[in-house]
Amino acid sequence: MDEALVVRAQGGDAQAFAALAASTIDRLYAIAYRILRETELARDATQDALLEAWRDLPSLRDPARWEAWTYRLVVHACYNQRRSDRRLSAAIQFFRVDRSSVPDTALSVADRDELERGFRRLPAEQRAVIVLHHYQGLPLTEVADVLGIPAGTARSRLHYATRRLRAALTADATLPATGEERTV
Amino acid sequence: MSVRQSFDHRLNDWLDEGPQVAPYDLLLAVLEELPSHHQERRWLFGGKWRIPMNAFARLGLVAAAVIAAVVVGAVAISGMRSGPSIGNESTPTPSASSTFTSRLYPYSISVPAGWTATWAAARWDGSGAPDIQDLVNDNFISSGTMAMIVVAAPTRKDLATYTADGIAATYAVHKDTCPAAQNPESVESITVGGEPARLESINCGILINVAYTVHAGQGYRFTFRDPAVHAATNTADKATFMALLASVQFK
Repeated sequence: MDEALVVRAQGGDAQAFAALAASTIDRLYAIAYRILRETELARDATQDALLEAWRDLPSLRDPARWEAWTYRLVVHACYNQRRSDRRLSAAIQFFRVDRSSVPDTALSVADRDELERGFRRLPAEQRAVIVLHHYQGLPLTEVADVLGIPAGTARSRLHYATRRLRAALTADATLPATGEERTV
Repeated sequence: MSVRQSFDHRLNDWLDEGPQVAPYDLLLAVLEELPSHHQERRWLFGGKWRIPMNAFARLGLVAAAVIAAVVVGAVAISGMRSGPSIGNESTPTPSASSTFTSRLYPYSISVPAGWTATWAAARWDGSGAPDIQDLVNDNFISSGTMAMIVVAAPTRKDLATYTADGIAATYAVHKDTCPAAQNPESVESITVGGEPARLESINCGILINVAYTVHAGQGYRFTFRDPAVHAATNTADKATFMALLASVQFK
């Protein structure tokens, strides 16, 4: 990441921001899609996050933190999308995997279906921890830093999310459907 | 493999299955929105960068800010008459066209009222066929669906060779989404800024027209696109494109 570009964009240079956005947009969209599981919502969340980045860029103290900062923005944009789109809660009930759109990997159709169902039952806050840790590969301390939460809370969210997904895979439907979280 | 490893593997595989690339038009949608979103200067008016001060000092700062805003506003209004751009800089006046002078390529062009123009952030190396999201483009975006991108790079080719290579590059880069680029619907002679040029018309599912010209050792590529038109040619689009090309001034 070219920190000089961040500094230029902080000064209002829209072309510098365009370069930053171009280098970041794929990652942000990929994260948003995995949290929201809907392409249109992911698109809106990514757009909101980048526009928020442009507006608030002067408040970013350390240009080297650009990437982590945009992760936080896109996660919060995902939270907003979840809050504003009530169709999602209904979609959980009737969701079926579109098998024509998924690749042929070692993952079984049943696994994919159960993971999708289990993931969609998770609160957005737990989804974000799963995606940043398991997909983006961030250590939990960095996940906590990105999300602005204590490390213990990140661990707790990961623990409960993982437990629920494991339960989904083993067809254990006895866990509650809403988030249980221990703030540390 | 342990139960935990097995679960983590399955979870990671599942997470990897989704899209890795943003939709092609998302970056453009963001950049089009930028002019209507102003950056917040929090070090002056609150937020994380607030400067502690007493009420008297705050009053003085507010007064200074008001004076500065008046001065900056006057400069901005006068700047709006000189050229288009995006972001916090000047934007085209709604009532008249304005002249855009490229920062990286040797030309200027008259931008119609209501269009937004952005400068290229990096110089084109002459290879490939830049798309609208590339950073090497000068971009010109209408308030509707039309847009034009312009790139230029040094060349020793004559117009015929430059055009043939440009058409081949368009197909090579975009054949997955535009197989029709292999055989353009038409390639006709036109002029760009008074220079002989060639116009390639393609139906890529959206209208794509590319004008090629060579001037003073520079090869220019003007690409006009309109996703609302599902044909290689359109009367209104061609009139708009030709008007833009006629206003080009080479340096």
